Amino acid sequence: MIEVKSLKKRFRRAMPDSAKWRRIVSRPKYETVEAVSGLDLEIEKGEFFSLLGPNGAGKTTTVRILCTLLLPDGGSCRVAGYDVVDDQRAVRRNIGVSIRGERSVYWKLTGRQNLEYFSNLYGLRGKSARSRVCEIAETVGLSDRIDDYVEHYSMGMKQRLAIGASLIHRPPILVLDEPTIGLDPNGARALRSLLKELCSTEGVTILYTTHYMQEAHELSDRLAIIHRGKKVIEGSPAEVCASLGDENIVEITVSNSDDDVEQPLSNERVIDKILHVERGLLTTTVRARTVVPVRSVALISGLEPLRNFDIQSIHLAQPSLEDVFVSLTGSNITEVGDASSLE
Amino acid sequence: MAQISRNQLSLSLRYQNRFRMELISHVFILIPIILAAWAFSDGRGSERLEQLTGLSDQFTFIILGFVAFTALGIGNMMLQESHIAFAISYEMMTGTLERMFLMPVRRITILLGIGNYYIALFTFQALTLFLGAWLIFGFEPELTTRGLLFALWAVLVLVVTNVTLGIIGAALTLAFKDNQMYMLVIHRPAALVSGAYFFIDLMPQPMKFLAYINPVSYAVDAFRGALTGTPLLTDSTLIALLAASAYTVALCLLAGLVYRLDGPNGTRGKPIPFLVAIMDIQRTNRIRCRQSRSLAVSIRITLVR
Amino acid sequence: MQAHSSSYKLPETASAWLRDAITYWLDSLTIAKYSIFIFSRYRSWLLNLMIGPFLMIAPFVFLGDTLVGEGKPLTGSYFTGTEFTDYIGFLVVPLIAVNLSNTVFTWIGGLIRQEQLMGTFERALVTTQFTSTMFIGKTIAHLLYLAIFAVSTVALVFLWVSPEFDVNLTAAVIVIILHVLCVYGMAFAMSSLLIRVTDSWTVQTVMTRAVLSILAGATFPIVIFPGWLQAIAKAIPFTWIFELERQTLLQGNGIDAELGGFIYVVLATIFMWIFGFVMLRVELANAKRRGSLGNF
Repeated sequence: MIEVKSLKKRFRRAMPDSAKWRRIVSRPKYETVEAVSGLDLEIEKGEFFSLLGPNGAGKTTTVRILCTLLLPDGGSCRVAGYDVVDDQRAVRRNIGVSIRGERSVYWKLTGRQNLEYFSNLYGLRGKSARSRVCEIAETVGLSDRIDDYVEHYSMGMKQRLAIGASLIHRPPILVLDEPTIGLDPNGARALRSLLKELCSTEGVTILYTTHYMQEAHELSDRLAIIHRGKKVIEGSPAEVCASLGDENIVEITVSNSDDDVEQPLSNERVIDKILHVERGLLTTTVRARTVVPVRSVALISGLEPLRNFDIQSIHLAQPSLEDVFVSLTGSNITEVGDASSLE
Repeated sequence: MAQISRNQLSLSLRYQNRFRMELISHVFILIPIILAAWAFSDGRGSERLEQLTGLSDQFTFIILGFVAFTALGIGNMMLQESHIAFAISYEMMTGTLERMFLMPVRRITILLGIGNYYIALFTFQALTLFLGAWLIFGFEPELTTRGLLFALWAVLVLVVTNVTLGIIGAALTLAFKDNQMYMLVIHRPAALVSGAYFFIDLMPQPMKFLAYINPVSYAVDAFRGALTGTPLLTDSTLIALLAASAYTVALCLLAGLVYRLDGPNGTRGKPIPFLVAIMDIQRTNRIRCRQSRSLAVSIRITLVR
Repeated sequence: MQAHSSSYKLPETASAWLRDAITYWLDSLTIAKYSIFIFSRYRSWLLNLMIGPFLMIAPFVFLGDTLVGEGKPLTGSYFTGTEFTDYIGFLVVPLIAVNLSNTVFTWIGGLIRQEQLMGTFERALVTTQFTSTMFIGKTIAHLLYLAIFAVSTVALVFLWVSPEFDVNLTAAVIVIILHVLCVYGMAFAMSSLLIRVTDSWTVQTVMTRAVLSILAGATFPIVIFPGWLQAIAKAIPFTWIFELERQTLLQGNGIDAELGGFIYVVLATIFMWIFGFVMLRVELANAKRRGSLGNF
C-alpha cells in the first residue's frame, strides 16, 4: 500500500546574522540539512506500521512527503499505487491525514461544521454526510460536544476532532503524525484501541509516527526506527527487541551517594553499554547491556564498582525498544536535537 | 522589560521588508493628502484656509498635524501589525501570548516591553518627518524656546496617549478575538475627528462634538499651536496642552483600571473581565512558582536532614 | 475499504473533464459556505461595513471643504480640461473603489497567510482536490460582503455627501464589474506570492497605499506628477479604472471616452487571473520543495 524507495530530502536552514542591524540590509546565510537520506519502507495492506524516532529524525518529513505536502529530492514514493509527485490528487483521495494536531481544524467553526466541511470536500453530501458525521462524533467520543465551537474544546478534544476529520471519508490508508500528543491517558488509550480496531476489522493500513516507544510496541504489526534521516532497524516489535539478545539487559537500583555509579560501572568488562540512567530523589537506576547473557544476579552484585553502593535491587530485564534505540544510535531518544528546522 | 523590547526588535528584524517599510510608511499616508491639498489649492497658499485658521500655508498646517499623528502611532501605514494592540493579537494568533503571560514578570511589564519598540519607532517617524519637511521642503515652523518646550510637552503627551490607547486596544483585541475592532472603534474614529489636516468646525455637528471631546484633537492642536502660535480648539496653546495632559492622565487611569478589575468566571466576550481573566493566569502562576520554590526548598531540607 | 471519491456520481459516459468541473464548483461552494460561517464569527465585519466607507471618504471630503470651500467648484489649473468641478464626486468615487479593493486585498490577498496563521493551510491542501478552489470559494463568500458593502456605501453617499452624479448606467455597470474582476485577479496573484514573501502585510499595504492611493491618483489628478511618473501611473490598471468610473458615474460618458484604457484594463484583468493561478501552482511547488508551506 505504501512503498518508499531511497527517499531523500534536504532543507535549507537560515543562519541568523549575529549583528541585528546587519539583518536589515543583508540576506540571511543558509546551510543545508539532510532530513531524510535514502529511506526505504514497504507497508502492506491492513498493516499497522510505526515510524519511531526522536524529534528531527525525519519522521514528519517522510509523512509530509507521503501526504503530498513536500516534494522529495530523490527516490520514489507510491501510496495506494499512485506516485506522490505525479498523481497527487489520487494520493489525497486515498489517504486520511492527521498532521499538526489541534491546529488542523477550524477553531471558529463547531465540531459538527468541521466534520461536515471535510466530508463535503471528500464528496459526501446530504443525509449520508450527516449520518457519517454523527458516526464519527460517536467514534471519537465527541457526540455530546459536537455542536460547541472548537475554540472552547480542550486540547485533547481538538486532537480527537482532527483524527475524526481524517476518518470521515473512510480512507483505506491512514497517516497519523504523533496523534497522541496532548491527549490524556484515557484519551490516548481510547484512540489506540480505535486505531487497532480500524486496522484489524476494516483493514485500514495505518502509518503512525511517534516517539513514545511503548505506544509503538503495543500497537504496531511492524515498525522502523529512524535516526538522522536513516532507517536503523525494521521488523515486528518482538524482532526488533530480540536484536539485542534475550538475556543481556540488567537493571540495577542503588541508593544515592556522593559518587556516580554509571561511570565506574561502564568501565567493567562485563558491561557492554549503559543504556539509561534515571536519578530519583533517593535512588538511581541504571539500565545496562551486558556482553554475555546474564543468568544470575550474583554475577552483577559481585562487581567491584557496586561494592561501594547500597544496592536496592538488581533485575534481569527484557530489552525494550528504547534499549534498541540507544544501543543502535548511541544516544537517548530525548537527547537528540531537532535537525529538520526549515528556512 | 528591556529583554522583551529586545525580543520585539528581533522579531521585527526577522521580517526585513516590513521593518524597512515601517521606517518610511508614514510618508505613504501623507503623500496623497499633500497631493490632494496641492491640487485643490493649485500649488499656492490657500486663502480659504487663512480665513478659517489664520494660517495661509496649507502644508505647514497639514504636516504639523501629521507629525503629531505619527508620534501618536496613528499616521502609520503598517498599523495592521505595527502597534501594541496588534503585536498582542499577533502573539495571540501564533499561540505565544499565553506563554508570555505565564512568565514570572508583571503583566504591565510585558505590554510596556512590547510598547517600547513602537514608541521608539513612532518617535523616529515623527522626527524624520519633521526634519525632512524642514530641511528638504523648506517648511518653516515658528521656533521659539517656549514653542519648542510646548512642542516637546505635546510629543510626550502624544507618546503616553499612544501607549494607553494601545493597552485599551489590546483589551478590545483580546476580548473580541478580532484585531479589526481596535482599528474601527478607537484608531480610525479618533484619527478622523482630530482635525489633523482639516478644519474641525467644518464637520457636521455630532462629529464636531466628538472632536471637542476627543483627547487626540487637543494633543494634535497643542503640538501645532506650539509651533505656529495659532491653536484652533482653545484660546492658547497652554490650555490645549493642559486639556490634552488631563485627558492623558484619565486615559492612563482607564488603561490601569482595565488591568486591575477582577472579573467573574464566564467572561468570554466581555472585554474588560475577559482580559482580566487572562491576566489572572499570570498572577496564579506567580503564586504557583512561589509555592513550587518553597516546596523544592522544603524537600531539600528534608533530604539534608 | 474504498474511499469516498470527490467525483460525483454521473453516468459512466460523462467525461473525466465534466466530473472534475462539477467537483471543482461543488468544492468551491463548500468552501464559500463555511467561510461565511467563519466570517460571521468576527463581529467587526458589520461595523466595518457600516463605518468603513465613511472613515475612508470623510477626511478627504473635509480636506476639500477646508481648502476649496463647501459647494464651490474646482478651479485649479490641474482640473482644467477634465470637466470635473465637483470635488466631492471627484474624491468619493475612487475612494469607494479603493475601499472595495482594500477589502478584497485583505480577504483574498491575505487568504493563504491567514490559513497559515490558523494552522489549517496544510490540512486544507491535503483535502481539496483542486487547490485553487480555496480562491474561488473564498471569493464567492466575499461577494456577499461586497453586496452589503455596495448597499451601505450607496446609502452613505446619497444620505451624506450627495455628489453631482450623471450616470451612464450600462457603461458604469460594465466598468464596476471589470473593476471587481481586476481586483480579484490581483488579489489571487498577491496571495500566491505570499507563499514566498514572509511579510504579507507589507505587500498588501504597499498595494493599497502606494499603488492605489498614490500612483493611481485616487484623490488628485495624475497630471500633478512629473512626466515620467505619469507614465508609470498610466501603466497601473487602477488609474484607468478610477478614470473610467469617474467618467461613467459623474460625466455620463460611455466607455468610448477612455476606450484605450478600457481595453488595457480588460487585458490586465485576464493577465492577472492567469498569473494568479499559474503563480499558485508554481509557488506551491516551490514551497513543497523548500518545505516552507506551513512557515510564515
